[in-house]
Amino acid sequence: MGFLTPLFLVALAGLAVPVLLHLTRQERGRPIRFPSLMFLRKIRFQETSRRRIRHWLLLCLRLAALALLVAAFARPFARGGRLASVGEPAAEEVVILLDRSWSMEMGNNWEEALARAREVVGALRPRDRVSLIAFAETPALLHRSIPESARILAALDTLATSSLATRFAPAVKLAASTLSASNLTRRRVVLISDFQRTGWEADPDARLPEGVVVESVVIGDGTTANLALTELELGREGAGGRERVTARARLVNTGTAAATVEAALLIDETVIETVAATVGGGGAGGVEFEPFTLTAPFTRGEIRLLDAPADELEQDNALHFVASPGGELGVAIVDPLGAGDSNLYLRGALGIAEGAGFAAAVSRGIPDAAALETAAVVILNGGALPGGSAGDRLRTFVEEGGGLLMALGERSTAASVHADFLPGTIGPVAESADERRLGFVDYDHAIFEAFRGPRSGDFSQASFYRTRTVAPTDGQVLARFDDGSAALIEGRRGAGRILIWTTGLDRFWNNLPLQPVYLPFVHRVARYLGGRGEAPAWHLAGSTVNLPALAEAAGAWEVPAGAVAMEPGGGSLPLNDGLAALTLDRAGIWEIRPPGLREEHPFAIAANVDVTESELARMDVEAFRAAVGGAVGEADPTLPTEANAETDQAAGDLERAQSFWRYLLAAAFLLLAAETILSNRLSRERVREE
Amino acid sequence: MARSPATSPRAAFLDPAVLARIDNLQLVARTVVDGFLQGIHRSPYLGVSMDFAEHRPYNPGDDIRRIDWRLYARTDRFYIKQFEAETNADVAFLLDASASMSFGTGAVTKLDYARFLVASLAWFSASQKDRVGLYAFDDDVVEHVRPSGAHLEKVLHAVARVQARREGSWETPLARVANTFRRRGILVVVSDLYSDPDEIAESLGVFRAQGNDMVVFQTLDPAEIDFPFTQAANFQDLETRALLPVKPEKYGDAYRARMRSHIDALGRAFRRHRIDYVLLNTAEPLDQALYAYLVYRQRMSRTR
Repeated sequence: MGFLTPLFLVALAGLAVPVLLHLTRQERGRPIRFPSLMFLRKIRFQETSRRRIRHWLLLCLRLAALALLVAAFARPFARGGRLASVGEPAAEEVVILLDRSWSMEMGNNWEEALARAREVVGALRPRDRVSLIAFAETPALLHRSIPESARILAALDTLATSSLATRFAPAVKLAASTLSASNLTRRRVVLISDFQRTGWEADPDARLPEGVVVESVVIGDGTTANLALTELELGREGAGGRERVTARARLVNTGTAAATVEAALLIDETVIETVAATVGGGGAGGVEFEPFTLTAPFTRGEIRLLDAPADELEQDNALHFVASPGGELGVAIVDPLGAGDSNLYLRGALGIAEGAGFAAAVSRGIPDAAALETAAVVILNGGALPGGSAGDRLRTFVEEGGGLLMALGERSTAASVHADFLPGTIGPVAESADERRLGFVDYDHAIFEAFRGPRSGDFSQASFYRTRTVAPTDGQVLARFDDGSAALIEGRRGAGRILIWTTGLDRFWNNLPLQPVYLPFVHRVARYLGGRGEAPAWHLAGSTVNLPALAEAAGAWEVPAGAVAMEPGGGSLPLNDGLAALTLDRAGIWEIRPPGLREEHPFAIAANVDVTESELARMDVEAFRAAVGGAVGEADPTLPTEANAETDQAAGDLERAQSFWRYLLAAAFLLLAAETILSNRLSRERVREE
Repeated sequence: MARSPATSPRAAFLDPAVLARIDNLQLVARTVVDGFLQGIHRSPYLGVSMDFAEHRPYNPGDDIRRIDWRLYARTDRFYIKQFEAETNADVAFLLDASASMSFGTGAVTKLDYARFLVASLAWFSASQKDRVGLYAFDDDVVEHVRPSGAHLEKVLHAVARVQARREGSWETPLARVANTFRRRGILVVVSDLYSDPDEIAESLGVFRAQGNDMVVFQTLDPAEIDFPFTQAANFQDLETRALLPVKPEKYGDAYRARMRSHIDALGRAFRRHRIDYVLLNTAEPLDQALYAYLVYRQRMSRTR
């Protein structure tokens, strides 16, 4: 049994009124008129002596009637089953947003966060529904609107921090969508986080629905002191046919006190050098190691801070990388004029390279098959695509995976038999009175990707005086001049690639060789055509990598069948056939290899944490709450019970269960009627007595 | 001094229960006085005297008609003749008409008893050629008849008109009396005297200090004195209408003790101011009051 409006039970205190009336007024009846009460007032009356109840039955009737009236107004109902929750505050939809970014590993923050989450779950009532979202860069909805607290607690038991940085906006959006789908009127978001400032970027879409209460649980003591390794850089240079690598990193100290730490360079899990570094409070410094010789492919390296004092955040104390020695790329330059001014800049550009460079050879005609065996790229510099066996040889070379660059000039033509081999039809020389510039560059392409950012190379400074008009057939235009004509066209033939550069690579038709972008442009074109993409030394944790592309960039390596991805902390992730993408959600070295087969240097990928997470400064929680549009504090338990479908179904039962008040009211009126009769009778008797 | 009506043959004429059946107040007064005087067989002209007492030197402002010209002829000085007693005195009755006077548990209320008393004394005084006047008051003077030898009828009518309805006080009414009653005379106060004894005595003592003679009759109902109630009840003050729950069987003795204490205090206070004080029980005949008044007048005639 319960009461819908239990506040009315307070009125039971009114039961004292009839008792007091019986005690104080039952003897008096009509007052006795007396000349003056001046003497009677001076007598101190002891009220207790007058407390004698004469009409017990009358008093009981009055008390019972009053009690029944109060009970009726309190709306009693039968408790049990679904009705048990009637009268209690409305059920609540609770979304727990638990920050599991790697900054939560600071001190005991993660344990505290889990404990607070368990507290929230423990305070829920049976009818409440709860969702659990663990978030870092991306949110993961572990449980959606379930009433079972036990499942949430079990999920919390298995939850661990990630190697990803904090991003609040996606988590808020997911919470908003979860709450929007709820039919409960009381909704609350419990955000458990260390509230790093770097994790919040104002996002107009990251807003919670109207009426949602945001409860902020701030974890941590606000410590911002931290030592972090950032900006790993590998300087590579060729020396004596071998490649030597210099590892450098930046050491940042966000604390107020200066710190002296020892940094170690580990190659294949073996410390080869340690250096000491001192960084002032709030400052940064560099750590540089002696060059080491890169001998084996997929050499795994790590820079690690040893014994960092009072640095409770571990993940940013190490930077991982994977490096493979690169071989020289054979480039066959076919120039009708032979080695001379027409290919001076080209040869010069190919002769300059860090680390593994290019082995360029100039010939007047298409090299023979043996020469083509050593070449990965053929550059037809101003020459024609011949017919006959030379043309066939070149065609076969490309179809088997070689790369061909045609830099067009006065004599550039294509034999009719191979006209369909090129991705465009070579037209006449176009000479404009006004110099032209590159008006469009496809920066999404691998060749131009490196020039995307600001101050990363400006193609617009190059002037082009003469070009050849090329009508693309099945090729893709990667760059156009400002008059719309194609500048660079790509086509795929077999396993190889063909690029048509519609102007020359020397200074006769343009001044591109004099521009800073010329050398990297030539390098990237040659590497691209030679299938020698840049294999990044490390990736950001949380990023998704294209395994076949990585394998190709790493030297035409292929993902073996049945390979698994070995996670840094142990455990493996099966790579199903056709699975090309792998998300590196943990920092460290990932290995791609068949299970159980321990190679000396398996294909490896390095992942490092996002160092923006190292900045531990806390944001203004109130400002955050205002930005996401949540109300402050606890949810109002007096909100009406939700009119969800479940309640509607039970409406009939509820009505029956709450109908006691009618009977109570009827009983109260009966008692009052009896009291009236009895009271009148007693009054008449009293009058007769008087 | 008081005599029980049960043992007196004149009680029938003086019993308030009998008097209550007589509508005409004049007849009541006459009945009372005649019955009383017949009983004591005394001259009705008591106190009337023209006996010479002494001479005193004339002072400016003295009535020149009272100069003894014979003595002036002998001595060539002015002397005033003084007599033993004044006759034809101004007698003013101060009748308390506050609501508390409406109380009565017997045949008459206190106000009825007071009416009989005032009427009787007025008749008695008028028969001795005194000038009678009336001040009936509650919290103010509600009836005023200036003292005059021809105002007996007016006094009796005014007394008959008096109703006890309002709360009473002494201050305002006595102030008005002081403004109008300027000649020295006799003030007869009839009241239940529900106020602080010292305050009442102080207020009336002013008139006494001005040379007036005063007699105070306190009229009380037997229930006020004996407090015969037994059932617990709410007691309502007739003047203030205030209610007070009282359990008489437990506190009756305390009440009676306080009432006795009050009466004693009144006696002491009036004695201190040389005011005559007579307690009257409305269940008893009026002769006690009349006798007390008579004795008072006799005493006064001797002292002047």
